[in-house]
Amino acid sequence: MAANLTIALAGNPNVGKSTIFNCLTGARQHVGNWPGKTVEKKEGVTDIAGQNLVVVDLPGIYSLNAFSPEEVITRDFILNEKPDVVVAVADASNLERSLYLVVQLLELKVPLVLALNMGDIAQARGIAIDPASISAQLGNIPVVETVSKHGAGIDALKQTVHQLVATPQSTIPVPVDYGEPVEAEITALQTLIEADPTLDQRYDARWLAVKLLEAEEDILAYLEAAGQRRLLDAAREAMQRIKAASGDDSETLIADRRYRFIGQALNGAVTRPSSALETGSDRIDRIITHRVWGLPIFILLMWVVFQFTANVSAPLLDWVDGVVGGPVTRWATAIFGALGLGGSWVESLAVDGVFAGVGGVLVFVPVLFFLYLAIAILEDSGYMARAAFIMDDFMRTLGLHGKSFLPLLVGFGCTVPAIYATRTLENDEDRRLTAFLTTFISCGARLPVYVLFGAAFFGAKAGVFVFSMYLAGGAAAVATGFILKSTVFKNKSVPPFIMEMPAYRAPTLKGVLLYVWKHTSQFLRKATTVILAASVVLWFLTAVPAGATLEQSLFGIISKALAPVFAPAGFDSWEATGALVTGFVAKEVIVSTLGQVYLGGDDAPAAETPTLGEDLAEIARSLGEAVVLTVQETINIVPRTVNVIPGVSAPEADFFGAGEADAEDTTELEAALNRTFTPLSAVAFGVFVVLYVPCMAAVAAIRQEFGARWALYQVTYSLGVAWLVAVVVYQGGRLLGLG
Amino acid sequence: MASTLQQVLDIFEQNTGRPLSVRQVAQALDIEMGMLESMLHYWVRKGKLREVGGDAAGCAGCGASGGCLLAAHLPKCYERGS
Repeated sequence: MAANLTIALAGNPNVGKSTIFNCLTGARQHVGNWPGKTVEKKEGVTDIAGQNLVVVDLPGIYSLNAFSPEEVITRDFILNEKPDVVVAVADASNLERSLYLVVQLLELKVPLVLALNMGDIAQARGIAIDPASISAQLGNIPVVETVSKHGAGIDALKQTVHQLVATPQSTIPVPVDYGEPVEAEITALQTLIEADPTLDQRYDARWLAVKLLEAEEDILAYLEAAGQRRLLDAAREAMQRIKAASGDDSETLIADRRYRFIGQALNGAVTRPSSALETGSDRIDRIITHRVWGLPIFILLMWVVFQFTANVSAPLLDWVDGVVGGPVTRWATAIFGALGLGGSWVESLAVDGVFAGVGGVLVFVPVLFFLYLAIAILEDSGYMARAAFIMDDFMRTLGLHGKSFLPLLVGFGCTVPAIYATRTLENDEDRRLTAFLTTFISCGARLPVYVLFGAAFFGAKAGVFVFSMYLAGGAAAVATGFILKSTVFKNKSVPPFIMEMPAYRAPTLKGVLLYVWKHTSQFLRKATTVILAASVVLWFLTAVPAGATLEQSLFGIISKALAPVFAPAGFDSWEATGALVTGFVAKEVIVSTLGQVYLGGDDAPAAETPTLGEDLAEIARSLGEAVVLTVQETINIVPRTVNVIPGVSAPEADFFGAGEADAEDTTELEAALNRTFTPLSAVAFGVFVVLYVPCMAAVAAIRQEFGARWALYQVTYSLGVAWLVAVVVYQGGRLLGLG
Repeated sequence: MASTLQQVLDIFEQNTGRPLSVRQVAQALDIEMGMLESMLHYWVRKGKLREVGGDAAGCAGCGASGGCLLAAHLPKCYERGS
């Protein structure tokens, strides 16, 4: 065996090539850059049969077509450095993709070993591979199966490399047949190349002829600089003849023939369970993504999600509300009293400002927890990917395609990332239109407002109210889409797309919990930053001038001045107006403001103050009851969904036999709202909350992405639409005798 | 008749209706899904198609990507390149 032998590792990215490199070289490796490039070069030494061999880990590439610097580096290294063996590492679970590069390496006529790596993944997917058959189809090149992450097959790979080096390859790889008229032109160009010794010594003539017909830019540039004008002209004319004869350009025909060659090589060598049979995902998709049934199923699922969110979370919401508004507030008051600060402005700031404001919003953590839990299950199961597919027909009517539905889905969580998510859309008009519509999609921050008003005015039907609010937002988005499509974006076209559908799978507990934690903790962070700051500012506005009542405070004066605007919509109280103004900071602040204005000054003493021990016992008891009721409400999703069908009245579970009595339970804030709003004005208020400007952060995001003018359009439009729709709802309701 | 590779590209020109899944296109062209994915990838590298999603490459530079549901779950789509 000669000294200084070199093994080159080539392969697609992420096929385990570097792991094989590490297995071969261990610690005997160093990392640098390829000369004149920023592409990483890894080189090491391996011991095979007592001899050291240099191993070069070439950059991960998909072809030798010089689409990227990495591909040029790999091709030039193999052409110029002529490694003694090239190990082509292929992903056994995706051989169609991996073999394209292998075919091009075969065309270079280098001593080649094919390492079929990641066989464990292929096996797990039910893919069976016959290495002997693949070897035969590729000109009897050695094929070795490896699972590099476990070090399996590495010794066999070394042994195969050793044999190839010891006995130089005698087999001639089967060339790809490019068919007529390409083969005739290759032969003609080959003759020209072979007639020129400067080219014939440097390149394999057939390989260079193919490269010329592929119009490989850097090869053409090299030949141009080398004065090979006659050859270049001949190649150009050959390409024109091919195009005229076949209708396709030569580059496409060559690539297509390579794919056909790969298909033939794998035919019989690889068997898949899904190649002939319909998979479980296919069967589910036949129903879920059905042209007619897909949309009703989607709406039904969303209905269940909002039932889950509004009703299942209610017992825990009531429990948190009871703990924050009762024992926690009492303990804080007691601590301030013990510190000699009882009745001071400090106590007022903490109790009336922070506790009423932030506490009032934290109450809704269970609501958001259940919302994110439902979305996480849908996401993790693979259903959400289908939503874009299902909604495509509908989105096209708005001048958008289904992909735009995904940022809208993100909008159910938060409008700000939804606006940034429009960056995934290529077309600027798509982005603007989608971002504009996103602001009408009801974000998680608005949910506490619906839940509060739903519980206060609609009891067990709160889920219907919440779902209606989401539908109102969706309807406004649709109407806005139609308006913009027929005015601002009337010349817009919608390009088609192809989507990779992930297989359905059972959601993983870890994945779901991580998702829920990530998004619920974001809400908690917001509560302790933006909402805390807003609560303090609001407390200040309600405390100035000193000694004034809430109504006479700065907050009351500003709110009163604006309140008449909302008189036609039925909610012209200064408290409601003030809440809407502060809601511009963040929608959750509406709830905290209502908490502060209605409850913040409520100093009514409790009839009998419980001891700390009694408080703790009650907290534990009520938590246990809330958990049982959560289970009850989860079960009740089924009858409540079925009961939507006219004439159907399925019985609901009632573990404590509380029946109507529980439905009548209301929090202090709900009771206060009942004194100010009617059910009809509550609906109008809810509709206004759905439709008006999401929050300052969303407006800032629109300004950043699309400019100040677009942000101004959005604010003006959404305020106008919100007011108009709220007025129509209220006045229409009155005309129908609902007020 | 156009080559299979060209037919893959032509689908994006001809299809003006609803989107297609990779499986549907593979069945229509009578090729393995892995082969179609490889062909789609070929056109992506040629710049004729764009790949969006999957690895959330379209979100590069987005400050909100850390909190973006889409980043983790956007299915991979192929659409006409610029």
